[in-house]
Amino acid sequence: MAAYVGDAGSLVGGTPDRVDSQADLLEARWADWMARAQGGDADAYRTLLGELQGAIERYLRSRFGDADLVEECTQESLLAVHRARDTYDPKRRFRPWLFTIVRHKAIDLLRRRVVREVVRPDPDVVEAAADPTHAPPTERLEAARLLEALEPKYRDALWLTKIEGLSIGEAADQAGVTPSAMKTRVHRAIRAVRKNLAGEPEP
Amino acid sequence: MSAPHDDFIDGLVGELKPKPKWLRPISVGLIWWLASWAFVFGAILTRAPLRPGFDGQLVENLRLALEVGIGLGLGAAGISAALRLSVPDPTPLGQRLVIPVVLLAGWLGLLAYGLSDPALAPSMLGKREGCWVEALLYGLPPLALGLALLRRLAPLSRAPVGALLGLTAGSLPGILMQLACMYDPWHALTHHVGPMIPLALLGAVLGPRILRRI
Repeated sequence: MAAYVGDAGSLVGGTPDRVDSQADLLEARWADWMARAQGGDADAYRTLLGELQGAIERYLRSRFGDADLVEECTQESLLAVHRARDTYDPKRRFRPWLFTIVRHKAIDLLRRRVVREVVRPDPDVVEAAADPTHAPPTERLEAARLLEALEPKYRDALWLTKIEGLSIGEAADQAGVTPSAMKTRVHRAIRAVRKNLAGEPEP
Repeated sequence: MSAPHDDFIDGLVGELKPKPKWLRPISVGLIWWLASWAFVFGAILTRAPLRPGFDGQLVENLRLALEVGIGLGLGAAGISAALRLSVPDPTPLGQRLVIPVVLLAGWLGLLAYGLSDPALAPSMLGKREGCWVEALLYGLPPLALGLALLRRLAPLSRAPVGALLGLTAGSLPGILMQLACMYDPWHALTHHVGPMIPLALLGAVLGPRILRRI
């Protein structure tokens, strides 16, 4: 649950203790609605999609800011949730399933946008790549491209720690490695981003 | 919520249908496993019987039994991993592939070891002409069935899932050929296991085209 407390915080606000219990409530509610939707309950499905729309929008806005991107990505994420709805297992947690889809769509969309937009690399973007939540929109697009260029394990390390906002320990748990290995991955990922920006090959 | 969003959600709700009872990963895996084995077994037996004495060899020779057992495990682990990769989940792709990769390495390792110390004395007994073509062709329907079934799920990495499916589909005739065709580790590697490579490549090409983009 800890991995998604941040999302819950942006969804429901409140103190960390309240966030935990409210996140649990959200989790249970969404899981229940999706289970009912899988049985054909249109009302439960409509309510779920309405609530997910707001949650996804807040999640994306807190990370990307760009209104157009958030709007487009929210719609694509809802469509993806709709297409993947039969794969949700009500015995498992809903939020990892949901946010895996949202992250996948966000990366997909960013990749497509970067292809469309010509963004001049700037050494200052190094920090944006390491922490895209603090960068303006164009730099975030560049950051996404830089993340995509990394080896998956380094990209995941940056994503989990700098975009998901997990601690080193939480990210290590999620990736199935030791905290020191995760720390090394984050360090190497940032170094690789710097090298990529400088036009050098990845290590 | 704005009106366009309401319309969008209404559109999605309008497409809602109850989830089919069989559409659970375990059921899908079982359907694939049974149908694919039935086809491969039937096709191999239709063309020619299994190698004379294969059952005795299997019981008496632990190494041969291990080769076949690991091959069978690879098929099960491969389809299981492909199914898990077809359900959105934050687990890294590499972590999902550990078991099939270890089994594949074990299987190839045993056969490679057999080059210097074969499990059975190499023999031409039971040789099937064009066995590599059989191994290749008999892997195609399981690959097609797997792609058709996984199309109902939501694989995020479609090319790797397609490749894994191709590899798994190719392993089925590859294993059975170990009992149907002549025994010789080099022949097994090139003629029985080798066709798994083009099948994996075909799966990697077909995956992004056939599996649904969510």
